[in-house]
Amino acid sequence: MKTALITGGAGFLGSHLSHALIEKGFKVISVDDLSHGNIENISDSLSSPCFEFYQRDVLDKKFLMEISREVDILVHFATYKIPREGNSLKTVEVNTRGTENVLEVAKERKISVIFGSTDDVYGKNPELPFSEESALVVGNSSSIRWSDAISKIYCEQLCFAYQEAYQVPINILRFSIIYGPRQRKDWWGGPQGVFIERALKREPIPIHGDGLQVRNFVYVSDVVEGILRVIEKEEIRGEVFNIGSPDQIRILDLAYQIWSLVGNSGKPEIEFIAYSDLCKDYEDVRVRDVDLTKAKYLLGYTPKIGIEEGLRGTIDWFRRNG
Amino acid sequence: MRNILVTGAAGFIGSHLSEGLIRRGHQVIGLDNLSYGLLQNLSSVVGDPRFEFVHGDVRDSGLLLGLGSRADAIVHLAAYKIPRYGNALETLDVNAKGIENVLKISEKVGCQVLFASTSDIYGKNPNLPYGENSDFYMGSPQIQRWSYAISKMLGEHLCYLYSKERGVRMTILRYFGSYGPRQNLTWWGGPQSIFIDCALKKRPMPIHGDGLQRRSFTYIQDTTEGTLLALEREEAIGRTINIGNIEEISILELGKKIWKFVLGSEEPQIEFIPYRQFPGRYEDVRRRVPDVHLAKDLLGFIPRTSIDEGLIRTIEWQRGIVESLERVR
Repeated sequence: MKTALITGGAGFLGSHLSHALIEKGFKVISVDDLSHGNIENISDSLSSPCFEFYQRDVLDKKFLMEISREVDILVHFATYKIPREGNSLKTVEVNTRGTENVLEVAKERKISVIFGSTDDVYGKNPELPFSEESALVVGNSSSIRWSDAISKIYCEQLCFAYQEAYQVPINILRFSIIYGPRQRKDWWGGPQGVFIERALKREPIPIHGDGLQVRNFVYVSDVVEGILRVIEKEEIRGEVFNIGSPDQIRILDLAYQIWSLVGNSGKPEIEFIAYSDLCKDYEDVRVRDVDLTKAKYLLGYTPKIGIEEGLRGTIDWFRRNG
Repeated sequence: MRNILVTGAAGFIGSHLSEGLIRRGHQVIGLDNLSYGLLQNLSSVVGDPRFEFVHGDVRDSGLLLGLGSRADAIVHLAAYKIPRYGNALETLDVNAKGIENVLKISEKVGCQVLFASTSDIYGKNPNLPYGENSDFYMGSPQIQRWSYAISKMLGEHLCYLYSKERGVRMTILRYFGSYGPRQNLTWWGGPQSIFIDCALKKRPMPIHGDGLQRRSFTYIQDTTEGTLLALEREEAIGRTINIGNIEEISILELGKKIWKFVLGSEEPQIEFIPYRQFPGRYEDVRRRVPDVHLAKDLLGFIPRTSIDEGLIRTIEWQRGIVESLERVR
């Protein structure tokens, strides 16, 4: 039986992956400090004899080293995402130090690492769609809007530096916006969570900027399927993959679609929020779309759940967990 | 008079800056682990009561705290540079932890920070010239070449975060290709260093790629002048400033020029090295020119030394080194 260690294991994606790995016959060790993860997310796995959960911080390297004796693969999802004024340093610290810890453990234990990155690393790159070889374009380093992308770009380099120096096998997965049951209901989980919450209450929907920005959304079960394929295929170690979907949607249209999928009539009232209210020097990315060719050919990754079906599943879960 | 801690003081820029600071009446603590710096670079200031050399690593927080608590400002130059031939991990580690350490200490002791960044941070950005607000275009994480720029990008970002969230007074300087006496004699010191060495020894000059990539080179005296001004002007606090020369030259022209200055009309010997011969993957940047208006407006800084003048002075220095090395042999 193989063992996987998942950091950020009680988070949205981590909890779904844990469940799927247990089904596949893995033993799963889940680590989460529950700062943003939720114990309810893993309630289904907790009863399994193949599952262990530790409420610990990924910055605790000694602990990670101790529990990884029998581990075959390390999946690193623990991360801070949305810096707002005041906690950006924490974002950079958790992301860089956490990744360094994970890589040190992998080096010591001689195991592979799957690093959960983001398509935000492509930043302002104007050439669409983004392939894994596309330039990573970051705007002004003075804006905290780039804290997440800059720290992730650094972590990606660090991963390959460990692979080069210590032969730690690396895979980097750049996720689009993942949605589905158990996703967070605040902005941390993406705009769709906030939109569903508001639509269910028939309240105005807040939109950052003009709502005409386009994003790529992928349903959580498709992402999990992609990750399982990466774990299984030893021959693709050392590769970077975009894990997204063909679903591109304008944020404003997403709001309208969610409004009608929950059964509301008419159109929602939109509450536009200026970027300057989010953070100083905010720079938005107008269109973000990923090329999935590499994942398709090397992993056989083909997302199955379309945006409408996915949103229905997500809305159902929101209703049941209101 | 101020107390200035210079990290990487025994390096090329660090040693010139230490001299410049002392000339202007400041007290200097020079920190260097001598991994790439050389003590002989500091021979003109060692023994001066206004200079103190400390052998140590910038990642050693206990040591840095002790030194920082005596300083009004830290000029952080210590860095690893070229991951082209391996060492990506050291580059990332030294550069990220070094600046983080400096910032933590400056938060604690209240001193000012001047962070040496690089033109390489603009990466592959096709839109020239590079103003301080230009975007950073980095390449794939599988290409080690980017680890230097990425480590500096994280360093700059940390500077801003410490400034915003912890009140650290900082300035970021982006240097554009400094050269001059005491430059490192390997690729670490830049192509001009290798070309001069080859010309002095009448060996073929190795040129990476087609040699048509263009760069702007800044003479060390100008780089030092810009740095001193940034350190002295209150207006520089909280700002990022390009420090460079706008005079552009292709690497091939640079090689030919150097050959001519050293050997006169003799036909230059050039050996082209395709990028594919580099270990791993490599990506070059075709052109790189700074917009220097901010340095001029804010600091009154204008680089004065032309490439010809700078090269002639550098060649003289390097000739002395090569000759003395040959005497030793």
